[in-house]
Amino acid sequence: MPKHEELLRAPVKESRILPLCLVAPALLTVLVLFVYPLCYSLVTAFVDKGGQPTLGNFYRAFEFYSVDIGFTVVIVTLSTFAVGVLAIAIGGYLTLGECAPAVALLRWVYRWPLFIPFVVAAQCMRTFLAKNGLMNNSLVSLGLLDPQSTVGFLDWRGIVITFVWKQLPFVALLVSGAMASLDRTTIEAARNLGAGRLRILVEIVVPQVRPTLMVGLILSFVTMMSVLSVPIMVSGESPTMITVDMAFRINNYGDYGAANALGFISYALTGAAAWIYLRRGIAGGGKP
Amino acid sequence: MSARVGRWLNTVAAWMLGILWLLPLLYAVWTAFHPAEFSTRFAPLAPLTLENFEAAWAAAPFARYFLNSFLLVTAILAGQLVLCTLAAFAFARFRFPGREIAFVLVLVQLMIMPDVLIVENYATMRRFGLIDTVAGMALPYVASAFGIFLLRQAFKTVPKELEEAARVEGCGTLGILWRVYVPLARPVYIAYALVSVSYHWNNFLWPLIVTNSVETRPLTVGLSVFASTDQGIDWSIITAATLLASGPLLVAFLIFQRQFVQSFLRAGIR
Repeated sequence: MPKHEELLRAPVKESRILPLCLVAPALLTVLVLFVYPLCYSLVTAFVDKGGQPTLGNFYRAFEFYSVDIGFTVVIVTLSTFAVGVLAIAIGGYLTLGECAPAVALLRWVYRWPLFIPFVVAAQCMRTFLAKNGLMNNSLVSLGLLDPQSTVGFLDWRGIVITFVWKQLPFVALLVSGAMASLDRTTIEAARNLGAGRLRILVEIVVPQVRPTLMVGLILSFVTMMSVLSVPIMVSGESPTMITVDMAFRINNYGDYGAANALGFISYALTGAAAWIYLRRGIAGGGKP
Repeated sequence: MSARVGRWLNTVAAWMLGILWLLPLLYAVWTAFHPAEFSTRFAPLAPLTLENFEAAWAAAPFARYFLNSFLLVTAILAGQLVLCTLAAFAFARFRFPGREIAFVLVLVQLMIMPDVLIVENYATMRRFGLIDTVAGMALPYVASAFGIFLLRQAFKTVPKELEEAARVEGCGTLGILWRVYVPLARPVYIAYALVSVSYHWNNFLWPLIVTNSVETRPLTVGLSVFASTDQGIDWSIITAATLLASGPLLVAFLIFQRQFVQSFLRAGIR
């Protein structure tokens, strides 16, 4: 950025009280309803019921739920990856597609699940993907499937399908928005030089929208990590996700220590993912 | 000729993918508007009915749930717009002691969803006497890190000359914020408001924990009644209730989809 523009962007030096007053309501809310409970849950994760320091909560969390922790990471990573690939495909088709009716249809259709609550999406999928749900019944009635060989998807596959179905519109909307605002001259130049649509997408379009894609994926990752309704409703079986285990420890045993340890593990995972976003945001948007 | 075939294939493939994508939603519509015996069987001439909606409406106080959800998203959005605007303006335009620490504290929220802090937040709400109130459901979300970050980025792009011109015209600091920054960030506000309303209309876990009466319970929590085994598994009624819950957002999207998408395109979320 040229120096004179940097000067223009420089923060105004004014009263010190005014900006503090402007920030105070938000900061107070963050301190009371985020920083304090976060610190408290961190402390609770590291002490026993008598208040003595211990790693027992983490031992218990890993002893009982290490499979679920791995399962959660795999499910959410897989869903995030699928959301990313499909969002690029949708955005790419909307930007580079040459068949106007197909582009119009895709544009109209892909956004709908954005407005469906997770609990409703889980409800839809629970009844749709069941062994005797509409999907299998339709395939059977079409003669594409033998009634004896129907398989339900109410397991990890159902969770991934629901997550992808629910989160894809949000990321695709961000990505297609970023793609639509790109300078078309580079795309047209590549086209004139004979580059195919896939090559233009992978080598020209995706690198330019990567920051937006990352924002969408990380927000989706964090959101999916915290969803309780989908794993409970779509897959009642074990292994399950960390959120279900937390609810189980609290509801069945009143074990807040292990629940907080699981919470700590959960936000360590989301924190690692979100740090990438923050690092990029701070680097790209100037120092905070 | 081959171009025409390619175009035709493209359209057919798009239609098939589109239908596949909407199938769970189409299925919900099909089941909700047909008698229970057609809930897992597709028959084009199956009779239409509204009985499932009547049964769902009678099984739960949906009118109250709608009102509660409306109050909840309105309270959260109003709080977010005020708090995020003020904080984002301060972060974007002023230098003050502790700015870096305060901004990092706000941004750390992006890493951790409030849902994993429900146990401690519940205790805090109980201390404030806000259990089973709309305020109790809304408070943990009003200082949205996403909103502050998004608006700060938008405010940073506003030309300084406009601010100086407004100051020359006699505007105070808050006047500049209201008359210069807020109008110029309108697309960001609309995009953010839609994401916020959609998210909080759909939120389930925190309202489930913090409410325990019909007077405050929002739609998503009310809907979970239909998922319990003691209600029996009547998919027709479940899907009718499901459509009742998500209907307002879907209708709003149908009406405002052009503005919604344009706002996202102009907001340039990065």
